[in-house]
Amino acid sequence: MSGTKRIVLALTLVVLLGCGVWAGWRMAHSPSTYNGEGVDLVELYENPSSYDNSGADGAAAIMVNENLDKTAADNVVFSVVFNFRGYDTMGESFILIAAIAGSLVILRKAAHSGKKEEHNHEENV
Amino acid sequence: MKKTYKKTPIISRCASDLFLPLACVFGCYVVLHGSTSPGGGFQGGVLVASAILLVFLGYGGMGVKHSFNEHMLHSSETVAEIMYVVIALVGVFTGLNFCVNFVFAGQQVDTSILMNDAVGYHVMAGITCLLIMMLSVLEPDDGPSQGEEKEDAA
Repeated sequence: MSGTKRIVLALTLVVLLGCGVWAGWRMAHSPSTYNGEGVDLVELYENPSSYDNSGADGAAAIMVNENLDKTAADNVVFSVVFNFRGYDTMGESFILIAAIAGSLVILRKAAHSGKKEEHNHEENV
Repeated sequence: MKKTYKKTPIISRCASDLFLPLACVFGCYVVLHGSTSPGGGFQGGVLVASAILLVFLGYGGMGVKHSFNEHMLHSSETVAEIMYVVIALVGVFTGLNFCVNFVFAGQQVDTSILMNDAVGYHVMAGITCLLIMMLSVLEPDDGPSQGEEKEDAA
């Protein structure tokens, strides 16, 4: 590795580290959005249907109270999977693509070698 | 030289004939019904893809090779994934977030149904392609003559 390349790499890493430290500092000094106050976990676990969620805040309240109005979906789970967590579903699909491509690389080798033998046999015949 | 399918017991052939349409229809039902029930795309796609095992049980490796086009499945799988990303990006171009449904309440048609179908087709094509490769390893060609016949058919 030449000297210029090494300097550029070091500069890039320093800039990335600086961005990370700055983001952490900003997040530490920003006001808290939700700290779990006012949530009675025991009551929520024992009586989920009668739990009062009108006072909840943050993303949980939006998902619970305004879900179907926001997404026009028929099912809450479906709207969460394909609207609020669409990135998650997309990542799962890409993982599936990667897994199938890797399996094809391994498994297709046997098929190709078999085909080559057949072609050689044809030529010999 | 006429190449016939490998002889399998008539019981397994009849059973695969009986259950193949049921498996396909049930898988398609789970995919298309996913918008009104929790989940759907992944599970229904795997259900449809498992129908290839019934074909393998009933008609052997030759039946699988004759009835499925592996290259078409492998390329259309990627097309379905691109469709998912494009449909999700429509929300960005209309001024909303990624993956947000831009057809609002009161309409039965929304974008996440199309995304669900894209995921269902993608999983179906991918798992079918994977199972074809696994079955070809499990049951290799018997001899060179069968390979020649396959080349002619293709």
